[in-house]
Amino acid sequence: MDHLVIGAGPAGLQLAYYLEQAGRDYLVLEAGATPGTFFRTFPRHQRLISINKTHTGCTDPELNLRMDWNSLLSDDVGLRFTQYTERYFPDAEDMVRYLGDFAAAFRLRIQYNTRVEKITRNGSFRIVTDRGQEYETKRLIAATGVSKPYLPVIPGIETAELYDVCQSIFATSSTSAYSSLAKAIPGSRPLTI
Amino acid sequence: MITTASVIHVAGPGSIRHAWKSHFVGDLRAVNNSFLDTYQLKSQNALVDGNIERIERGNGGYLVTVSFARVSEVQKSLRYDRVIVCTGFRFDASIFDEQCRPELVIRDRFPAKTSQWESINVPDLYFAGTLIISTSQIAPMTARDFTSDIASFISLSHSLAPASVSKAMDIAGRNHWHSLRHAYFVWLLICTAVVALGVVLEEIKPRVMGAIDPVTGFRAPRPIISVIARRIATVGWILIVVGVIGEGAFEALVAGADSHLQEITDGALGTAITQVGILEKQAEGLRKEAEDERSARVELEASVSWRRLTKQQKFAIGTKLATEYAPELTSVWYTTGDAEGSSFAADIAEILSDGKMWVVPPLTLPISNEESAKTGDPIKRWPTGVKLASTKDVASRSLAKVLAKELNDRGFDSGMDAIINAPGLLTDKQPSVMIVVCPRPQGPQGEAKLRAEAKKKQQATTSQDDHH
Ligand SMILES: Cc1cc2nc3c(=O)[nH]c(=O)nc-3n(C[C@H](O)[C@H](O)[C@H](O)COP(=O)(O)OP(=O)(O)OC[C@H]3O[C@@H](n4cnc5c(N)ncnc54)[C@H](O)[C@@H]3O)c2cc1C
Repeated sequence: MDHLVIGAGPAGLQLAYYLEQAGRDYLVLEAGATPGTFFRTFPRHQRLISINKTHTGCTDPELNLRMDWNSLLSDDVGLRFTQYTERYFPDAEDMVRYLGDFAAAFRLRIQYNTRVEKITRNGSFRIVTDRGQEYETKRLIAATGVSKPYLPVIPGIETAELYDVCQSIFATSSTSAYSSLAKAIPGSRPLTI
Repeated sequence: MITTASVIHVAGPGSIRHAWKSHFVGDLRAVNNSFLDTYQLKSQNALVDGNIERIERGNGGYLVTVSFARVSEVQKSLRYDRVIVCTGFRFDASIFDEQCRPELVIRDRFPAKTSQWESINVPDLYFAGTLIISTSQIAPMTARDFTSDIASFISLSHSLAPASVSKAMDIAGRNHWHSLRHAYFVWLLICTAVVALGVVLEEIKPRVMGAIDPVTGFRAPRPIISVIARRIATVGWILIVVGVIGEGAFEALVAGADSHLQEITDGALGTAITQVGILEKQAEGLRKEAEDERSARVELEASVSWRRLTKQQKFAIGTKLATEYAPELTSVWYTTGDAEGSSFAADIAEILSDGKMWVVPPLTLPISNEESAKTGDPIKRWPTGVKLASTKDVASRSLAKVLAKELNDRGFDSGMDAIINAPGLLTDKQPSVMIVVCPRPQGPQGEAKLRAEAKKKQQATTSQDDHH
């Protein structure tokens, strides 16, 4: 294979789109079940801070795209994030939906539920996945995002709770970001680092 | 958590950068500001501006030791029910085997890459998305480098768009043309080899054909090889003609494609470069604005902050006075209602008590001791700074003067002022010194004043030098 992309987040999808357009030999491997897996967990309160400007007052698609913080680039002007929600600070769920549609619309070659576990090199790259498949590729593109928490060196930090996994300050509501308001135990004293 | 928690602290080592100031989406966004609101309006919550030294768990809670950023060497241990770590994310390099593991930067959080987003140590390994974070990866990054990069959001459609197009083109397109041209070149080589073979065979033909038979006068029969040789040579010539024409056509094609690619890349790069230029200019402007604002704030703070003497200062002045003048009756005063003055009066009283004086603790003086100012009289302002008065004896006068000088030397306006004796408290029967802390003078005091004066002096000398 010529191009193997790891990760079907916004970056992986955008690259896949261009590779597909150019008729290249490529494949995307994604650990999650859908594109945009990151946004299924993050941000923990499930409300994006990337502005969704649906009404710009102008019709020039180029200009509208400049105001658009969330859309991926493609020839299909109908496939813009602004069509998915009117919410100025959108739900993360809408992003997952949008990225899923993007991948489907262009029939991007993505293999889901496949985590890359080991990469070795002997001339070309050899990739081993958690399903035991092996791939060989000339060029490798890591679009894996920042997938691990960064912990500063503080004695005792391992006793604290981590943002990516900590429970109960974040309600588990799946319906709307607005209802998943963070709650703390009444009267408690939390410290956020 | 604001609704239910009693006290929330948010701790971090740097001061907050607001996105609406820095214009960087990765800084604190206003949507997350409501917490700051509760802090500024003193609703028990707080920002803890310092380094977390350690976290200890026990007794159903945590004890967290913080060293404060603004106050040097001050450490405090604070108690919490929960400690939540939101210190950011990093790239996972563990899936790469050691022989092809990309080098990392910024506390090992991001891969080090070239301007082509290729790993600096693993060729053909590229990075995309949030992983493309810094512009400079060799030098240790400052927070500024980090934030001035805009790649950390989805908005590929902004500055990243042209770059990602040219990157996909680069990786896919150019490599494709390269391999085609390569294949063609190999074919041309084969053709040449075939022709060469033909030529060689033609060359040896006469010898293989043999000479005329001296007996019969006939030539020896044509060996089969010469037929093959002629055919190969013909095919070779045809191939070479096709090859040369093809090479020409192909060159034209590649040149066309190259210039097309170049146009796209140039266009994309041009846009990107212009945008970077604009952004850099904006960033420069913002940096300057922020710096100006910071120094304006520092100046403003210096001009209104309370007069304070440090423990060391108090002790140093106190000991100096003790050796020469103690004990002596002293009294410290401040004007009614002046909280700042009362605090500074307490500092001065502490000097005197360190100096083994007999100190009457700070008392208030009515703001106007001028009797019977009548309606319509010109308004007289109460003097500012520290005013000292003493009985006429040499020791008391000298104590007052020395104290005034010590305070002045430390940047606090002070001076002798006979007016201060107005209440008639000083009588020559009892040698004593009276210190009245009048309202704070305008402009900086203390260390800030010394600094400002030094700066003024320096500016004066440099401008003089310029003159010469
Ligand atoms: C807390 C937080 C909140 C954020 N909020 C916003 C926001 O509101 N708006 C915004 O625009 N940006 C936001 N960002 C930035 C955001 O991360 C990026 O905009 C976006 O997710 C980056 O896309 P990406 O494709 O680079 O990475 P990601 O979206 O993280 O995609 C990486 C993908 O790679 C997959 N992957 C990782 N490792 C492997 C492996 N070994 N094998 C196979 N697959 C793998 C993951 O499953 C994932 O799907 C936020 C970031 C954080 C940390």
